[in-house]
This record gives sequence, C-alpha cells and structure tokens, in this order.
Amino acid sequence: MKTLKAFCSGAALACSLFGAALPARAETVYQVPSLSDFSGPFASVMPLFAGAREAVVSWWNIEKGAQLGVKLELKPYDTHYDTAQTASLWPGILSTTKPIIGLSLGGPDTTALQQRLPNDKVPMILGSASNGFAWRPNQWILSTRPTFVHEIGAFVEWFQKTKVGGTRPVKIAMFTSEASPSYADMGKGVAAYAKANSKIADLVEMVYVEPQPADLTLQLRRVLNNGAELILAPASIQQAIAIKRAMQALGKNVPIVFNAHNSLSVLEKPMGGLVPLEGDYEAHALVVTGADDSEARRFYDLLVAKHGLKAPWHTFTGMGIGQTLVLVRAVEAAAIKHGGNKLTGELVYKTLVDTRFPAKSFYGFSGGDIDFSVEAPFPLRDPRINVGQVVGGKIRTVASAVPVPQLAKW
Amino acid sequence: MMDFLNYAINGLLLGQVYALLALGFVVIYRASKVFNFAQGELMLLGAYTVWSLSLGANLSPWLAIPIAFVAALAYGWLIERLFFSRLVGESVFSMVMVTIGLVILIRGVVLVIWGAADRQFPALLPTMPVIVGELILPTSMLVGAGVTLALTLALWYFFNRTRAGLALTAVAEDPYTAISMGIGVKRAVTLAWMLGTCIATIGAVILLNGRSLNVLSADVALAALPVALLAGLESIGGLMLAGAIVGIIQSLVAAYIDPKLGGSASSIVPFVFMLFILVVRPTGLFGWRNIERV
Amino acid sequence: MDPSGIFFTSHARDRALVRTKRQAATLALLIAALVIAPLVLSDRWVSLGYAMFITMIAVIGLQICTGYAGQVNLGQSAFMGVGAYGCALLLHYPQVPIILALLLGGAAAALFGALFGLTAARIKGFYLALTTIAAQAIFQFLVLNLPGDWLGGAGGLHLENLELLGVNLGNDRALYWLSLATLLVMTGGAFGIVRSRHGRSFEAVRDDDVAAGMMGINVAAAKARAFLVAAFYAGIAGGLWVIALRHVSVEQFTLFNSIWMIAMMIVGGLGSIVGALIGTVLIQLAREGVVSLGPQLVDLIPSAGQDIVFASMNVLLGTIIVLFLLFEPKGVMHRIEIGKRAYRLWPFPY
Repeated sequence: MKTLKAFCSGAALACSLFGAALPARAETVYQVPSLSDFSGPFASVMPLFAGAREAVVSWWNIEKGAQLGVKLELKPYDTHYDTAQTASLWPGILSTTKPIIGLSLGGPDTTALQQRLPNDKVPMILGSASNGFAWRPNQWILSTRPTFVHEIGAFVEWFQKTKVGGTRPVKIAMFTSEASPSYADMGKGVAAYAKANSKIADLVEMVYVEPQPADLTLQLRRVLNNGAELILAPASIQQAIAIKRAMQALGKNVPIVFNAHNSLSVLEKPMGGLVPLEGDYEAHALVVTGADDSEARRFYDLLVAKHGLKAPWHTFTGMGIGQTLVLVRAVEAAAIKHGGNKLTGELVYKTLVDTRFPAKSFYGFSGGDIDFSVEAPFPLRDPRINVGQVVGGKIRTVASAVPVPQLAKW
Repeated sequence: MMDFLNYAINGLLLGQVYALLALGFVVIYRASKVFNFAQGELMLLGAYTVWSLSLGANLSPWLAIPIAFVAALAYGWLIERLFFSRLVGESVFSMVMVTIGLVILIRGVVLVIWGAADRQFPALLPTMPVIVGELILPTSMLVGAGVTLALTLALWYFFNRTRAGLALTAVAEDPYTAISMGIGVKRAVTLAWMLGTCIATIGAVILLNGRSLNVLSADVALAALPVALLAGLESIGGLMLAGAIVGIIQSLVAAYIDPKLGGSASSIVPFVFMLFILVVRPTGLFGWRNIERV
Repeated sequence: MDPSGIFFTSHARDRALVRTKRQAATLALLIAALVIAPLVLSDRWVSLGYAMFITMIAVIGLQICTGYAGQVNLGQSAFMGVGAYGCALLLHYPQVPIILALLLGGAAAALFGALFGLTAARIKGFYLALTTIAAQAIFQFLVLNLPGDWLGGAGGLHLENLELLGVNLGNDRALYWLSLATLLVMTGGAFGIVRSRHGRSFEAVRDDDVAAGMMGINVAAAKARAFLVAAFYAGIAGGLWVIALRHVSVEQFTLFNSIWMIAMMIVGGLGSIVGALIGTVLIQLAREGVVSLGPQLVDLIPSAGQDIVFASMNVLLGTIIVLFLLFEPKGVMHRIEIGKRAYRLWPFPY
C-alpha cells in the first residue's frame, strides 16, 4: 500500500513536471490595422468604436485565440476620414503591420483602398452599410450589412405587411441630400426600388434638402398632403431632427424610420429624451440597442465587466462590436482550417467568402447569418435586419431577422 | 397659390439671414477693403462660445448671449491686433492671404478647444414655426429678419451719421487721405473687426438655432457671399434687398425645380447668381464706383 | 546674384536658368537622388513621395496664377477635379495611351479654368477669387447631378489596372517615377513660362493692372491666360491622382483642399516656383510628421487623448502659416535667398 501510494504520487509528480516542461503553445501575433478618425467628422463617436473594437479583440484573444495560438493586436491609424490621407498612409501600414485583415471605418477609406486591396491581398471589414456604387464583384472591403437601400427596402416591406395589411402599396416619402455620395445613392436606390415594386411601395416624393436643414415644415406638409403614411429619414442626424420637429409643429403623427447612424439612441439626446420619438422606428442590420434584455446586451455587459469596455450601450458601440466580431470569427474560422500560424490575407478572404457564419456566433449583433460572396461587398445571400421602435418611452426590438428583398443594381 | 406664397416668404426670410451674415463681410470690407474669407470661421468662434456658455456652463440664454457678444468683441480685437495691425500699409493682397490663413488657423483652434464632435446648438429661439392660417413661418428666421432690419438700420445710422462711422467710411475710401486728415486708421480697422465678429456671432445664434454645430457650419458663410456681392460690397442698406432676391430665388428653385431634377439645384443658385452678378454688374446694385488711378 | 568670379560672355549663358557647372552638377545629383530614392527608402516614403509630387504640380500652377499674376485662385481643387474626371473618362477606353489621357485631362481643366478667367474681362481684384469659389460649388453640383453614366455620379469612377510602356502602374514605385518625371517636365515648363514675356506680363498685372493696361498689356487676356495655365497644371495633377488611386470621386476635391494649396504656396513664398516646391514639401512633411508622431505622442501623454493630438495638427499648421504671413510674407524662399546671398558674400557683410 505504501509503495502504491508512493508510486502514484511519484507518477503524478512526474506527469505534472513533464507537463510543465512542455513548451507553452507558440502564439502568432497578427497586427490588425484599425482605421479610425480622431479629427474628422467621426471624432466624437470614435471612442465608442475604438473601445468596442479593443474590448472584443481582448475577449477573443483570451477565449478563443489562446487555444488556436493566435493573438490579434489592434493598431489604430487616424485617417481624418480623408481619402488622400488614407491613400498615403496605406503603403506604410502595409509594410509595417503586414496585416491579414483590417477594420475599415467608412467612405473615404473604401474609396482610397478598394482598388488596391485585391492586389495587396488584405480583406477589410466595414461596420457601416454598403452603397450601390460599391456593389461590384471581387471587393475586398466587406461590409457586415447590406446596402442602405436594402435595409430600407426590408423595412418598407415589413411595414407594408404588418402595419398596412399587405394588400396595397404603402405610400412613402423620403428625405435625403446630395451632399454626400452615400446619401445621394440612397435616394437613387430607393427611387429605383419603389419603381420596381409598385405593389409594395408608392413613393410620393423624394425630397432633397441640405444635410443640415433649418426647417422642413413646408416640405413635410407638402409630402403629408400627398398622402405619405411612412417617412424615411436615413440620411443625417440633423435631417432626422428637423423632420421630427416639423412633424411636431404640424401636429401630425406619421411614423418615421431612421437608420443606424441616426438611430433612436443617437437621437435621444438632441430630441431631449425618447418620449418625442414615440412610435418611430430604426431599421438596420445591427443590434437594436434598446431596453430589452437580450443575448447582445448580456455580451455587452460581459465586455464591460471583464474586458474594460467603457463605451455606453449605444448604436455605435454595437456597430464596433459587430464589426469586430465578424473579424474575429473570420480569423477563427481561417485558423481552424489552415492553422493559426499560417494565416495570410488571401486565406482569410477565402474563408470569409466560403463560410456562412451563423447568426448566433455574433450574439445578436448582426441582423442574421452572414454569408459573403464574390459578387458583392456585402452579404448578398439572405441578409437580415432588425427593427426597433420606441414603445412606452423605451426602445424595444419589435422585429428581428427580417428578410431583405433581393434588389437589382440601380 | 398658397404654396407659392409660402415658399416665397420663407425664401425672403432666409435671404434676410444671409443678409445678416453678409453684414459682417461688409462692415469689415468698408473699413479696411479687406475681403474677409474667414467670416464663416468668425461665426464658428462665436457659435462655439455661445454653446460653451449655455450648454457647457449652463447659463441662461439671457446671460449667455451678452457674454458671448463681449467675447466676440474680444476675439475681433485680438485678431486685429495680432494679425492685421502689422499689415497696415501692406497690399490688400497680403491681407486677403492672411484671412485665408486664418481660415485654417481658426478651424484648428476650434478643433482643439472644442473637438470635432457634432454639438447641439442651443435653441435660444423657439424651434416651432409660427403658423398663420396656411402660412408656415420658421420662428428663428422671423426673429432673424427682425434682427437684420434692426441691425441694418443701426449700422446705416452709424456709418452715415456718427463720427466714428464716418471715420470708418473715410478709411475705406482712402486710408492715406484719412490719415492725413487725422483719422486714426488703426482704431478704425480695430473697430471694424470687432463689429464684424460681433455680427457674425449674432448671425450664428439665429442661423444655428437648434441645429447641430460643427466645423463645417462655417461653409454657410459662403452662401452669404453672393448677397454681399449683389448689394455691392460697401452697401449696408442694399443687403436686405439683395438678401431677399437671392433668398426668394433659392427657395423657389428648391420648391419647384429640385423635385424634377432629383437633386439639389438650389444649393448652387447663390453661386450661379454670384457669377451672373460678377459678369453683369460687378459693383453690385448699390456699391461704390471707384475710379482707379495709377 | 551670381557667385563672385562668374562672368558670362554670351546672352544665352547670361539668361540661363542653371548658371554654373556647380549648380548643374548639384541639380543632376538631386534628380538622381530622387530617382534612386524608391529603391532605398521604405514604401511609406515612396507613397508620400508621389503624393507630394502630384500636389507640387498643382501648387506650381497655383503659384503662376496667384504668385506671379496676382489672381487669388480658390478653385485649384476644382480644376484638379475636372482634370481627374477628364482623364478617368478617357482611360476607360483602353486604346487611349495614358500620357494622352493625362494631357487631354489637363486640357479639359484648362478650358474650365479659362472660362473663369474670361470673366476677368469684367471683374477686377478679388471678385475674381469669388468666381473660383463658385467654380468649386459648380463642379461639385455638376458631377453629382449629371447623369450617372457620364461622370459616375456620387460613387465616382473606377479604373482597372493601367500600363505604361509595359510597366504595370499598380505598384507604388512606378507611380513615383511617373509623377517625378511629370513634375520635372512641368517644372521646366513653369520656369519657361515665368521667364518669358508672358511671365513678365503676369507680374506687371499683379503689381498694378491699371498701369499694365496703359502700357499696352492686354490685362484681361493675361488674367485669362494665368488661369488657363494654373488650371492646366491642376488638371495634370488631377489626372495623376486618378492614375494613382484608380478611383475618382467628388469628395477628393473640396474648397478646403484649395485653401491648403494656397497655404503651401504662402509658406514657400509667393512669386517663386522653387518656393512652391519647398512650401509643398514642408507642409506635407509637417502633416506626415503629426500623423506618424501622433500615436507615439498619445502613448507618451495618455491624458492628451488621441483627438486632441490629431486635432492640434490643424492648429499647428494654421499657426505656422499665419506666422509666416506676418513675419515672413515672402516665405521660405526669401530666407533662402538671404542665406545664399550671405553665403556668397561671406566674410563680407555686404
């Protein structure tokens, strides 16, 4: 007995020593350029994005990266949201960080880089919605959301089915601006959508105003007099505020739908609370940062508790989390398939295109499954959106995984 | 018919706000013959100061605005002391170059002190429009038109009937003659800049009422340029008429032509107008006709 | 002023731009160094290099128009845009050689610029500057509102890979050499223009256009010519941008860009071609410096916050520009000239 005990303890000791003597699993560190804007129009919300990106990467490194021997390091670069600046920064980024994947911020970096990336072989993940003019094959800047027009179309169809009965076209009117290519593209796309789907939507008017209008009462009245039942306001925050004020001035209550960058949580502060926004919607392929307890909220709380996330529960934080989740899942899938120390940009791109990422791997931060293809820089096969609404003074998710219509290019 | 009237009146009011911004240009031009490209940026300075005072320090608007005016006077004085007092006697070209440099400098200062974030400018005037029957009149623009009228009258009186104002006019016409007549050119120019900045702040309060404020808000001053040109860069009284014309045309274009074009032709109406004026009548409706001598 | 001991015995030598053998050797060495640079320096410098060269071309054009002819031009970016779009449209047809597309883009921009210069017949002084602001606004409006298939509308135009003389222009080095070569040609041309009677008439118009008119110079034509030249240079620069990025869209060409170019010209020194080059280099390097140093500064001073550090760039550069205007309105070139003179006279004080 004594010898057996001694033998066992000796064996246990030997095993543990042997285990400790094994070399630690080698970790390959990959640097991920995180294109940011600290001095341009997005500077005010950049802390939300940056915080979200860092927190998700820190979470993934510990939870999954360690097992796969992969460590991701974010390297922020200030692009001033300017095309020329990004174009001149990029060769330096390419040679110093040798990235396998990167995080894009929006328009100017897409413009500067989209022609180069297929040659440089670095895919990038974009958290903003895509645009019609970016819809070309073989793009390496992949947006986690479909185009703004897709998101709007999906909401219009949902609204028509659930609120208008689904039997007749719903009368819609939209406000946008020419000042930015994105906004102008939204206008074109929605007009084309309404024309092609006259049984679902009847576009009363597409109103072009400045992105910072003083007063839209006249225009809104004109549009309401022509019978509009739903107002689309996917362009700037200021336009959304002006439309809401005009609606209040006219004493009417036609629902307005916003997009992610001018969502209900973004409008809460300028409008002085959620009460004025009662009954209005937000529709996009990101998480609706509402008051409901949800899987997304729990993941957010986890990041706050364990990974130093200081940003508030807000749409832009959600955008940052969603964007980075897609990035880490792509790296994860590629590492599982090819080995954590053999990753290249090209392999990650192939993984992005070949894999259908299930919605649950994003904890509710995406609209639905994400499935990229070579034909478009956004998930073309069955993207989904979420719809939020202010109900009883709080933002609630009233519909999730709403299907997006298949659209022809405009 | 009602619609047409609505658009026309709204255009008229908008034009008065442009005229208000243009007043700043004209005051500075009248005294120093300097075309101040940085007028929009002066407006920014005033606007951010008002923001800081009312939303940052939570002062009531009745307190914040007067303090902001004093601050604006101080800014004008500072800018003139720092930059333009050294340039007395230099060509107007150099001075205009300095104003262009000021555009970058002031934008930078604003960015550092207040950051690039979109701020919500306080709604010091009610944001709900006044509805008279079928007419919809934005309150802030109504007040703006009133302010413009008051300011125009006050400045007209100042420039044409008071000693200091006539001194400014004399300096603008011919600084050398003015000096030899004993008029303090430096003081005149300082006064002009202080006035110009103050007017810019008033314009900011009216125009940005309840809207968002960021560095790009300065671009609206460019739309006020054509109004100044149409009036003639030295004419204060003509600004209201010029503003009315430009405003009404822009509003009508926005109402009737934009929907057909599917775009915003109204945004370039002021500029096309400006080109038109420059070619047909460069001195504007009421500007002085200078005889150039070698 | 020539170094002592240098005398010329022929008019041609006296008028030469490069005056002594030593100067010629230095120039040759400089050009050689620039040509070899991409083989030695990192990619970051190469891309910075061609970005600088392209901007230099536009600023030289601006210098001719504003520095030499005294016409404040706030629409140089819009002219670049017209050249860029012109070039991009032509390059959609693969049979068009790149150099031809570049030249025709420049010509299109020149035409656009001349239109604004023609108004000079009726407008005096700074009013001309205002028409250039209108040019910016009109350019943007036209691009966004003309039918999408003409100019690509909001999304802009894209180009596929371009080849020049068998060299793929997708890589940074080829772009560097192409823009360097273009810069050298355009600089030579600029010197030719300003040293000719056209250049002298520009300077006369700048100094006193009424007097110039009385001396028999066609002032309106001179002003229009100045704009034409400036716009041509801007157009070439715009075309090169298109070749470099293979994408053109209206947001690359804003009024603020025009203002920055004026700032570069001011820092370098009004009225000097070399000044335009130096000003561009200084400002671009300063911008680069802030962008690169930014992250390090943020690490050093965590309390400063990334937004403050990056935003300080504008203040820094703006202050530099205004300080230059106040204390050295003739720009860096003036200092360099004084330095050269002092060096040549040394040890004598005068």
